[in-house]
Amino acid sequence: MSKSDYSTEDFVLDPDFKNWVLEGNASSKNYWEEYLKENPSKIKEVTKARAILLNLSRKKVQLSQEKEDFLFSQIEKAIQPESSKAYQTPVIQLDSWSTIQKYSYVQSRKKKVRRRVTSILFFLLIGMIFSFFYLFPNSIESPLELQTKAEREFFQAPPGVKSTISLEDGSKVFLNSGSSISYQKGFTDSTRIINLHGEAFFEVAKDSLRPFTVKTGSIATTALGTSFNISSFPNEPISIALISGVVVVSEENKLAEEKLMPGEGIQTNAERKSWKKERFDVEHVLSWMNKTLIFDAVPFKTASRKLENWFGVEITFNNPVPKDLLVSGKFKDETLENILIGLSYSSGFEYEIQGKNIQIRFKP
Amino acid sequence: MKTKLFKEEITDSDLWKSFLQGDKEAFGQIYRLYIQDLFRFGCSVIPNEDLVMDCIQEVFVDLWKYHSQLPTTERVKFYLFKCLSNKIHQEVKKNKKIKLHQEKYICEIEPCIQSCETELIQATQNQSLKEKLSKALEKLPLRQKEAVNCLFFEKFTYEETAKIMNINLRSAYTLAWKAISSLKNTI
Repeated sequence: MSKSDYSTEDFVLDPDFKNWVLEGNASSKNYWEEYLKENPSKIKEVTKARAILLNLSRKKVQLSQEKEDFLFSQIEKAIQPESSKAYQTPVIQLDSWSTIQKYSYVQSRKKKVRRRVTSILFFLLIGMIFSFFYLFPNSIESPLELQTKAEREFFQAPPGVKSTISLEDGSKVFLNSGSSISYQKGFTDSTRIINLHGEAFFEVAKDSLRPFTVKTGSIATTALGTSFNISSFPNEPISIALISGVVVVSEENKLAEEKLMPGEGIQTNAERKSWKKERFDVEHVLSWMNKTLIFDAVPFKTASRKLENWFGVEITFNNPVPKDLLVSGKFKDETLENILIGLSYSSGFEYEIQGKNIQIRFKP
Repeated sequence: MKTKLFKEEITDSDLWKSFLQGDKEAFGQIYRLYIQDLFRFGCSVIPNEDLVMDCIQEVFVDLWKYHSQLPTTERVKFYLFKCLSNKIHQEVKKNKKIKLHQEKYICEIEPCIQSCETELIQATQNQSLKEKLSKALEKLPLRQKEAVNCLFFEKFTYEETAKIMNINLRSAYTLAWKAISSLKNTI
């Protein structure tokens, strides 16, 4: 549209016209004077447009000083770090160690363990693959896994054993006892997808072209270059805890998605149908990597499942477990016997160890 | 005058930079600097003071939460407006029954040009016309009002306005055109 066809509206909306009316700078002045000389019929529209621009007003809206201050105090309250509030339940202190120690431990452990673990893993892997396919030929779940069976890598840490795995892309996986991961060998060009059963800590190597995704049932945790912990044991809630970087947790059908920042975690309910975001205690979440077993007011059944995995034993109960019985305690590098002694006092039971079997009887 | 202007520009994007590095002081200053603009703008998007205050709170809480990942920007005001606009539209989508408060009369009005540069302009400004225009502006559909607010009062460009409103350039122009057209018909 040429400016000779301008209506009032067009004049008002023309940034150059606005400049001329409100600021009156020389170059636009020349232009619009020339324009009026050539289009004298437009004088009515120009006058009206100028009147609108000069008198355009709006209702005065203002936030009072009190409200402004109140709002800011609300914001300040909301951004207070909450980690100081987390986890103040009493635990039995057997020793003291700090989060910093844990981090340096993880660092040194990585180097030491790598060499040892590669050799252990080699045998472990061969053993695992054989026993897995011989003993549980039907336990491979999805048809996708069946199709690509030949190309898939599978690692398992049996009960009583923890292991570290270096993946082809440079990422590291610390597998807790009784946990396993599987993934397509070499990954693909655009994805790095890992299936996890149980608990593991991931240190993801940066690769912005291939997001790193950990699948636990219907929930996927996606990262680019971060470290995070996931616990997903059968019949227990899934919990995801982010230590550094950013991850996105999403539900299979994209019904829910959550972006986590360091120090934030996700905990599903027991049916894994819904989740909530919460802050977590780093020491607590990563304790398993430091040979430390922490029970923080957990149901007795959960504690016994942890002990079974941790030591590779089987626990049987001779009488029903009291329903409301919660267990608290912290055990660093302790023997099963010592832990059972500790727990038997507080929880009121007798136990008997027969090789890999433990019998527990609650006192009436 | 010139040095003062220069200093202010530096302060604005510098404040943002210090805030990105986790400076809480700078965060507070950004709040103080833009809270009135944001509140006024929010009320033009949706005339519900409480909702606007809630949204502003959430925007600032989110800004702090994600401060280490936010981009550096020279246009802090534009960035904040965009955040608030997004947040308000999210809220409106979530809750369609949000009440709109329509004020019955306008007690005080503010002109588009705040300080009159020349006496000539002052002389041609017309109080009754101003009142007419501000009343007409209140009656406009919300999106049209938002467009006029961005373009004429907040002095954003068409491009920035389109981005803040999450529409394309063409639609931003059309909205503004319709708005000016109905304003024109009231005088």
